[in-house]
Amino acid sequence: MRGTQKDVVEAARRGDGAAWEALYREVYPKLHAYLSRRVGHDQAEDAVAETMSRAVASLHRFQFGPAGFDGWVFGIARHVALDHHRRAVRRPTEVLVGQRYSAEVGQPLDAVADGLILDDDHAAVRAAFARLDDRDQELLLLRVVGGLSAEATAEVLHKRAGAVRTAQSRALARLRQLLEAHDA
Amino acid sequence: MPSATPISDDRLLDLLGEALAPTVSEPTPEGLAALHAALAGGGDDRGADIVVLRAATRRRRLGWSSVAAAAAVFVFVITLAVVGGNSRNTKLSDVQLASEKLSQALRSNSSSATTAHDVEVLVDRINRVPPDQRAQLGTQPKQLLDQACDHLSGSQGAGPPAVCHALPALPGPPPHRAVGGGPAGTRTQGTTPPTRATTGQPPAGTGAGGTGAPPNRGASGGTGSGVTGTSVPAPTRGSGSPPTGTSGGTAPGGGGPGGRPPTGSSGGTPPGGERPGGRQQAPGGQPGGQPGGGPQGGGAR
Repeated sequence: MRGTQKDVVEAARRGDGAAWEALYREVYPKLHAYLSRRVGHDQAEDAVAETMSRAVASLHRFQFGPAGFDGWVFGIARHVALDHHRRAVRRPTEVLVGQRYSAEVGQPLDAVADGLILDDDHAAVRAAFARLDDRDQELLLLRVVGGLSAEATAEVLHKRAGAVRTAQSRALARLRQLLEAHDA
Repeated sequence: MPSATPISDDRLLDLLGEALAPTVSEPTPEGLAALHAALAGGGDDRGADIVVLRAATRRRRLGWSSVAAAAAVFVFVITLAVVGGNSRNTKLSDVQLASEKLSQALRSNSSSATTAHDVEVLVDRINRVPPDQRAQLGTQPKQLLDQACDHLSGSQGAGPPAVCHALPALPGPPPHRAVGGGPAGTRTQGTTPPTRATTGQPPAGTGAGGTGAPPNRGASGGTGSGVTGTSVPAPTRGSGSPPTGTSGGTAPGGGGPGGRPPTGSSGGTPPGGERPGGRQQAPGGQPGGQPGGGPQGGGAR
């Protein structure tokens, strides 16, 4: 798979539109899920488009490393999300919207308030996940949603792989505590 | 989510993966269109339609446009310089070619008509060179013109062409000491001693009938009698300035009243003398007249 993706990436580097589309389709679901929880569901589509635009513009600088192409794209997406939050800080109304969606993993708050979703196990996990701090959320999103290895996640977050594993363990412990508190 | 035992990390990861699973699987047509638009855009400015990048992109575009404008101006200036340089070089080359042709005509003893034509061509080429650039021509053209005009004036043909009487100003060969000057002229009382002379102040007196050759033609001087000429110090040279050239200083018998000796090629017309075959008439002079200025090379040295 990696070799195949490498071939596709090389074709994309030469400007092959079909190769780019294949890469886009492959990474789109994970990227959309990641960005839905980073910038909000309604902003995710634009954020994905921006991420891919930046990828197109800077593919000539990409080199295959431990993170691979997916890790590189998620690194771009992370910066897109950070830029989104910086912009939101300058626009208080967008902060409110962003918080509403990022706190409840893309689900409208009204539905959460109705208690219709929290009955579900997955909804409970999402609710617990939403209470984690930003660093824990980001790390778990990259590992779980992005499917990145510890090494790739470390490259995206500019950390060591060991530090990523330790942070992941602690984040899961906190998530577990939140779930247990919810059950109680 | 009721559970009696703590959930393992692996199970928690699975649950988390299921809970956060992507809700969409296919990119939207708008997303694909944006991708292809980005591909079609090319360059680092792709993605400029994204709001977050807009400010930075504008700054970058402004910078590139400024750089492009500056580069255009630079190229324009360089082009002008190159074109101007080529034009200058072309004119200088034309003079060189005409000089060589005239030189060949002189060497091969061509007919007077041919030589006269070459003289006219060379004068025409010289006139095309701006005066401030004629110094780059060197002394060869002037020497050739003088030689050709002398030759034509002594030939049996139609004589020197009209241009020989109005040659363009050109740098002449460096003046050298006049040797073999004729007998000394009679000195009379001078009136204006050099004002800056510190040593070797020339004796006052007017060089009657100076016999030396003009400074730039000193080697051919010395044959004039200096009898009939009456050297009168040139009015414009009587200010007593120290000599600045090396010419005309050692010829005996010359000497205006402390007058400035000839300076280089421009000081070559002897008062009261006529250059051999020359075109500038000095009243009462004889061929080979010694320049009247500064008999001892000027007191400044």
